[in-house]
Amino acid sequence: MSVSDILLPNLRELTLPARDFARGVKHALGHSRRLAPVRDALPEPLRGFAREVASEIEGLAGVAREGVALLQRHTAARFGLAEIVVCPEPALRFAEAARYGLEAAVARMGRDDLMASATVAAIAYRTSASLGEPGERLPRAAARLAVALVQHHAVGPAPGTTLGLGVDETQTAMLAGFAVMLWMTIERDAAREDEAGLLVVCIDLTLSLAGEITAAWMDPDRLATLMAHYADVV
Amino acid sequence: MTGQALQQVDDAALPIRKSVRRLRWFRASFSDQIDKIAAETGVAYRLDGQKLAAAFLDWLRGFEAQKPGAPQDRRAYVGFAAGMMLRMLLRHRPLMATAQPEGADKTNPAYFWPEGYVYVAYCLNIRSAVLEQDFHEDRRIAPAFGEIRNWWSFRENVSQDPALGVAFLDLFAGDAPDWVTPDVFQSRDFGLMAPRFYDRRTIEADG
Repeated sequence: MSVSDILLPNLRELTLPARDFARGVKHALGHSRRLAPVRDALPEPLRGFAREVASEIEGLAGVAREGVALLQRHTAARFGLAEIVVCPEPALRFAEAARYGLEAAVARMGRDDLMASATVAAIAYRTSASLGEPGERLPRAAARLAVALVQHHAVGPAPGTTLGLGVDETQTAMLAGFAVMLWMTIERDAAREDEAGLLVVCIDLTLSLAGEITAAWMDPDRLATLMAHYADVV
Repeated sequence: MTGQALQQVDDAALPIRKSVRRLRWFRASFSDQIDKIAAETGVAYRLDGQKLAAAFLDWLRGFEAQKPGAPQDRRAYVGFAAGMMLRMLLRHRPLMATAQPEGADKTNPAYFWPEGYVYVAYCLNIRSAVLEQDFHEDRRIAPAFGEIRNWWSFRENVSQDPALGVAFLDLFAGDAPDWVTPDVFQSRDFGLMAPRFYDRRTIEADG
């Protein structure tokens, strides 16, 4: 077996779990402040050590945020699935776009307690892409990716697991998944479009169609038809 | 005030009759309308994007369902479609006025019913812009638009039946309102078909 036959991990993709980790800790610290009482209860010098660790993590999260912001600046007009699937590192590009979109969607639904994972989104992309057929239409691929994001638990209280996932969280994840894939499916004029604004339009439209989307979730043909129709509407 | 062109309307890359059927354009132009009226009146608004999307979808479905095939109906359908848009905005109520200037004159429609004023202004603007672009008609507003008594009646009636919004928009635009079946488009073809089914004297007697 030659070196080229070995399935090597993509080095750039290794940054995804690190970013997810940093975001996860930041999320726990920032939103629920669950760790603060524990940290304050620690005796010195452990308390100082914990403070330093928290500070390090804060710094790492900051670096991750800068990285994501940089990526967003450079790919602001390239969140379209049509462009993503033909780029050199589609899973990586998809993962960052999906994470950004999913977190925006759950926040707009008032679920700041839920997180999205770029790592899990990359896994969902790989799994879903392997099921695609040559010449497949974009809305069908997008519908399958929406389902894959939910099946892999790319968004939830603890992404990648079923921990804390109830009916409400699953419903939220379904709508977030549909909204994000709708956003990636719509046609865009790269020179004019405001990506954040487009995402909000897709989320609001999805929320107004909640019943229709959840009813079609288990039917790939129906979900693909909805994706195609509403992409035209947007 | 409402005769002013909206930024989004003027910037439209496609004909306005087509752009308005896209949610992103609809939302941007509606937001633009809110900003303009807020700047002119000092009223602060909050927009519910989800309700706006629901209003748009209901309007689009209705638009497609009643869209006439005959070319002679196109001009009349512009006014009807704008009225249907007003109906859906009144039904879903995506806008809420959160603050008004102190001592605002309530005999001014913009302060009497700030949300309704934005809905009407937007629909009149879209209507005028399409008529100007596709039928070369000048933008105009009827004197009825500024009369507060019409607004009292408008607000009271549409709170019970939003479909009457279609008729009121015709009134504000200077067209003849249909108060009986305002949300059913009456094809001009009917005038051509009528002699097949009715005696000519009956048609003439009906005017």
